Amino acid sequence: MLSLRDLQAGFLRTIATAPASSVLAGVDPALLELVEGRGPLGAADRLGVYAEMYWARLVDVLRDDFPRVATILGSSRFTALSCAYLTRRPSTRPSVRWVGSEFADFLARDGAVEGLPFLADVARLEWTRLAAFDAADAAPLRVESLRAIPPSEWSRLTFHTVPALHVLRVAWPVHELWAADDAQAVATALRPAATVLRVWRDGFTVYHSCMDPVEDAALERLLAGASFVAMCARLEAMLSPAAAVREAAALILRWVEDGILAVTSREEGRRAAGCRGRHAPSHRRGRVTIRRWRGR
Amino acid sequence: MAFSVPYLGHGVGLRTTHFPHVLAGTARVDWFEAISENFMIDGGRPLAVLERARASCPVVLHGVSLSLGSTDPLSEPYLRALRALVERVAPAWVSDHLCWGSVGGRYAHDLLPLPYTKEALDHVVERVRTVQDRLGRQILIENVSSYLTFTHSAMPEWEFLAAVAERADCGILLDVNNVYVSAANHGFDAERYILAVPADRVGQIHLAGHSHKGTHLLDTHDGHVAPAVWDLYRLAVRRCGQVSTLVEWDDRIPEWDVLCAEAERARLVEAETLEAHAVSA
Repeated sequence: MLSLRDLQAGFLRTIATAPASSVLAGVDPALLELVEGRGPLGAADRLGVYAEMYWARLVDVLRDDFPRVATILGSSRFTALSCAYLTRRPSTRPSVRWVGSEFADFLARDGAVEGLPFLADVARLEWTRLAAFDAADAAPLRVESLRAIPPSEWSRLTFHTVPALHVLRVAWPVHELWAADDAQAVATALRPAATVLRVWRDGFTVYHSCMDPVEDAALERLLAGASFVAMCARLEAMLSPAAAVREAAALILRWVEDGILAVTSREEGRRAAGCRGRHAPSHRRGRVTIRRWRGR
Repeated sequence: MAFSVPYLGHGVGLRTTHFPHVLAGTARVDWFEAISENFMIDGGRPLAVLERARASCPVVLHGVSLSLGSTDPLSEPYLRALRALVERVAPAWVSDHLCWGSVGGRYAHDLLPLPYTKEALDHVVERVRTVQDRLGRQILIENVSSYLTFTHSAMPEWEFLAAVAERADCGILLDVNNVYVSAANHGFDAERYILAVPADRVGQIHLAGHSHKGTHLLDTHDGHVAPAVWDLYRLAVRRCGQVSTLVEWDDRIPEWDVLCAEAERARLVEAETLEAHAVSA
């Protein structure tokens, strides 16, 4: 007689055996003896019902979380690759939210697909967008508050970012794939290019944007806690002094418009709360991610 | 030892499809049931929707990953997250399933069946007690749909469920559709199950649709409640009286009005059943 623990271990091992093989191939004979076979369904068939649900459910989770990867691969290849991922890296956390946490890494290593060297970077972008989607809330700094700061105070200013902001460094311009109506067609012509994306959420909407080297350098300084003056100094290594100040100020304004700078003091919070509004960004945005939540 | 929760009426599951209605304030319903794990996040739209829903009506938290029957230790991060969510939402109650879903640190993300043995009973009772201690409140446990049973089970599921509820002093979330699906799949009498459940511990009822797969029924939550399940619901109402009832619809989710109409139908069925029962008594 199997202990409860051995029964559970054998059960999970059986249903999580790769679906390409029959359930019987992976079933523990001692477990099979304990399963009632009744009516039109034998014992192995009954375990098979659970095996079918296991794979269908988890592949669906990955398909929801990585829709561009799924589109590029096509349904059957995505299913096969997802099953390989789940076999190598089974879920270890209670919520399905984290099932895909290692999918991008898997695509970069064991699951690399010939002819699609950018696929792991597409997955990284999709996973980062999810991270922005449910990151902690923060009151964003708004343009009106920024404009109320006297010019004499700018040299001492430091800024903080919202928790939903992420900087993603990838080897392929995957934002071009994301924006394309026909991702498969764009994928064919894609060429490698070191790309830095910022990913963020404003309100409930997730965006991403490609950063040029100047914006990347400025944001890197800001994230390190540097003052506005220090940020300008960093840009002076790339631009003339006058252009560095202009560019730094323009970037701060753009980031405020995008909602990635956070209110950090109570006073600022009161001012911002009085002037909350929707500000359209001045540059192209990514498309919205809609999370599909599931339950039983 | 006793169990009691308030009567909330007839509610629906809080699902992404209907988030715009909640945010717009047009999702009027007696109460919502939220899947706990979907809201164990730091922020964003789902939590905003949950808080908006909570501001308009009672909310209960329904978990799918507590893995009460697992032989792994209870997940401490999960318990902490659940407790934090409970403090944030102040739900009318908290529920999860009489099943297991993980072992060896691996999660199946499914509601897997237990053998109904003394070993399993002692194990689950201890775990329910621990969870209740950690949350500082009683929980409700739900009977799951199942597709297999074990030859070494020593008692029927309804006896196991009743024994867990009595010994752990917890409530029961009676899923009438699950009773119907499991009865069909295992050849037991669904009415006998309903009549055996300790009525004073039933704090909530689930209704849902299921699918015929030829060889078995599958608990798909993708359609209307079946006529035979409505009949079982009538029996459950006759036995338990007024119990907060929720319609689950998780796949091929319909328009808000269609979902609400199903909850309204449950209200009507409950009222008719109670009226007929009063007359006959």
